[in-house]
Amino acid sequence: MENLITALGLIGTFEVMIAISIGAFAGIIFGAIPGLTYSMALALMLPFTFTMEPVTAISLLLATYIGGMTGGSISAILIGIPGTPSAAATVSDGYSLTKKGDASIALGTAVIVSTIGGFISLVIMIVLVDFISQFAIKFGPAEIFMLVLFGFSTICGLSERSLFRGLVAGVLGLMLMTIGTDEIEGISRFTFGSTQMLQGVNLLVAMIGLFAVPHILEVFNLRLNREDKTNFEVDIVKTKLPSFALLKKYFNLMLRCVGLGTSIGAIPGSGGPIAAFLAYSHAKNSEKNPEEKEKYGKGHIGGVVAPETANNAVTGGAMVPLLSLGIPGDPATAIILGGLLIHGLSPGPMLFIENAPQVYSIYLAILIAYLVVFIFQVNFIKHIVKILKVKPHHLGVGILVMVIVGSYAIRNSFLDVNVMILMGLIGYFFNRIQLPVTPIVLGMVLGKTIESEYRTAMSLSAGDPTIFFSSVVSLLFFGLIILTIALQIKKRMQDVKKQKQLKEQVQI
Amino acid sequence: MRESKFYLFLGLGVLAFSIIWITLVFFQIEGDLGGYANTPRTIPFFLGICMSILGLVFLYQYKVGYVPKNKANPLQKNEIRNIIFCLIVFISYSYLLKYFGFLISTPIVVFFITRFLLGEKNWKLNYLFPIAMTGLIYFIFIILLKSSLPRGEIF
Repeated sequence: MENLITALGLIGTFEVMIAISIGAFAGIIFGAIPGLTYSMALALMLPFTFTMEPVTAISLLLATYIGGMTGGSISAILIGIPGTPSAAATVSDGYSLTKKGDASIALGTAVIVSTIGGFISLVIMIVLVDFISQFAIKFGPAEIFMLVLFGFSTICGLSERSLFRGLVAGVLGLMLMTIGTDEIEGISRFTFGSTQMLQGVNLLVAMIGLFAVPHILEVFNLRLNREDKTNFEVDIVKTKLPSFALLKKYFNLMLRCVGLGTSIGAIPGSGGPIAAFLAYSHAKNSEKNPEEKEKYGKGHIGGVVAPETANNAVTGGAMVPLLSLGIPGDPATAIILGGLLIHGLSPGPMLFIENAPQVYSIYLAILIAYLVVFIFQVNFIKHIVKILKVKPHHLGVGILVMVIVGSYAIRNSFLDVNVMILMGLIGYFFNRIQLPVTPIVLGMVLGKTIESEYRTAMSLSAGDPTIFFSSVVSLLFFGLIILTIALQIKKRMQDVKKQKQLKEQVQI
Repeated sequence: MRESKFYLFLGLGVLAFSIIWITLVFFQIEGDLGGYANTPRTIPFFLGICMSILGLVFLYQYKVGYVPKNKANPLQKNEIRNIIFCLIVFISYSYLLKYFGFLISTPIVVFFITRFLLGEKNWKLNYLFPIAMTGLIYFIFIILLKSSLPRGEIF
C-alpha cells in the first residue's frame, strides 16, 4: 500500500500526464499510418527521454506502445489497410462495416474493446508478474542463461520468415553486442584501435537505424523515381460507442480473447498478429447461429471485437516476461526494456524488491495510457484520420529529422550517426533479401545477459559445462529449446514436401 | 540449373562473413580461448562457429533444391543512386547539427530536402513546412517534455 501511494505521487505530476498524452497521440498516429510502426515511434522517442525522470520516460514509452497497438485498427477499418500487423485480422469485417456505412460503430467498438482488453490483461499481468518473479528469484546464472537462450530461440523461430534466417539475424545481433569493451575483464574487442569504438554499438542507435532508416529510404526512393503513391482518401468520420447490450452480448467472447491474447503475448516472439488471427478464428468457429457465422468476413461486429480485444490483451501478456524475467517478446518491448535499463531499472525479480514504487508506477501508467488513448480516439478521431491524407515522403522528412537528431543527441557523437546509417542500410538490405530484422534487435538486447550469465556460471563451476544441465529448471529450458527448433525444422520439412507434391502435380 | 540461387548466395555470404569474423576474433581480441572456455574470446568465437554452421545449412538447402517462399528483390541502379543521395543528406545534416545546432540547421535541411531532393513546387511546403516542423519539435521536446536538442558549436 505504501508503494502504491508513492507510485501515485510519482505518476500524478504534470510532466507525466503530458508525457502519456504525447506518447498516446504519437502511438495512435504511427499505429494508424500504414508503413509506419509503433516500434519506430518508440525508437524515435527513446533518445529524447534521457533527460527525463525515469517514471516520466517509461510512461511516455508505454503510452506510445499502447496508442500504437490501438491505432492500427483505424486504418484497418477506414481504408482496409492495417496500420500494424496486429490489426490485419480486423480488416475483413472492419472495412466491410465501413463499406456498409457503419464505420463509426466499428471504430467505437474497436476502441472500447481495446480498452477493456487492455484493462483485464493488466490485472492478469500484475498477478502473473508477481507470481513468476517470486519463482524466478531462485534462478542462478545457469538457469538464467538457459532461460534467455530459450527466449532467444523462440524469438528467432517464430520470426516472420524462417528459423534459419531468423537465427542468422539473431546471431548477428549477438555479435554486434560483443563489439567494444568486455565488461568482465575490460579487454577491447573488434575496436580496430579506435577509442570511440570502446563504448560498443549503442543499442538505441541500432534500433533507430533498423526501424526508421529503411522506411525513409523506401519512401524517398519511390518519390525520386516518381513512383510515390497517392495519399488515402478518407471521409469525415466520428466514433460512435456501441450500446451496453452489444457489449454484454460479446462479454464472454471478450474474456476468452483476453485470455488468448495475454497468454500468446507472454510467449516471446509470438505477439499481436498471431493472437488477433486466432481470436478471429475462435470467434467465428464458436458462433452457434449459422446465419451469424455466415456474416463473418462480410461486416460482422464480432469480427472486430475478437481481434481488437486479443491484440490489446497482448500488451499485458508481453509485459509479463519483460518485467518478471527481463525477456522482451517483440521489438516494442525490447525498446521499452532499453528505456528501463537506461533509467536504471533493471527488469527481473530484483526489480520488485529494489524499485517497487516504480513498478507500481508502470502499472498505473498503463492504466492511464489506456484511458487517454480511449479519450483521444473517441473525441479526436476526425482530426486523427487527417494524418492518413499526408503524403508518405512528407512524413519521411519529419522522421529523418527525428532520426538524425535522436541518434546524434544520444552522446553528441558522429560515430553514432554513422552506426545508425550503417544499421539502416543493413535493415534495408535485409528487407530486400527477405531476412527478418527483429531478431537482430532482440539479439542485441539479450546479448549482454547471455554472455555475462554464461561466464558467471562457468566461473562458478570452474569451467565445467555440466552446470547448465545440473538443475531441473535448466533441463526444462534446454528441452524447450530443442523442442522449439525441432518443431520449426519439422514445419519446414512439411512445407518442402508440400512444395514438391505441388510441383509434381503441375508436371503431371 | 537450379530454380533459385538464393540459398547459394545467402550461404556463401553468411559463410564468408563467419570466416572474417572468426579471423577477427584472433586478431582483434587479446588473450586465448582459455582452458575453462571462459575468456572474452569465447562467446564471439562460438557465435562465429554458429554463423558458419548456418551458412552451411543454407548451402545444403541450395544443394537439395529448396526454393525460398519469399523471393529477394535485387537492388536497381536508380535505387542505389537514390540511397547515396539520402546518405549524403543524413551525413550533411549531422555535420550541420554539430556546428549550427538544431534550430538553425533543421529548417535549412528540411527546405533543401523538400525543394531540391523531393522536388516540391508548393511554396507553403517549401517555406512554411520547415519552420513549422522545427517549431513543433522544439515545442514538444523543449517546452512540454523539458528534454534537450543538439546545440551547435557556433550557435
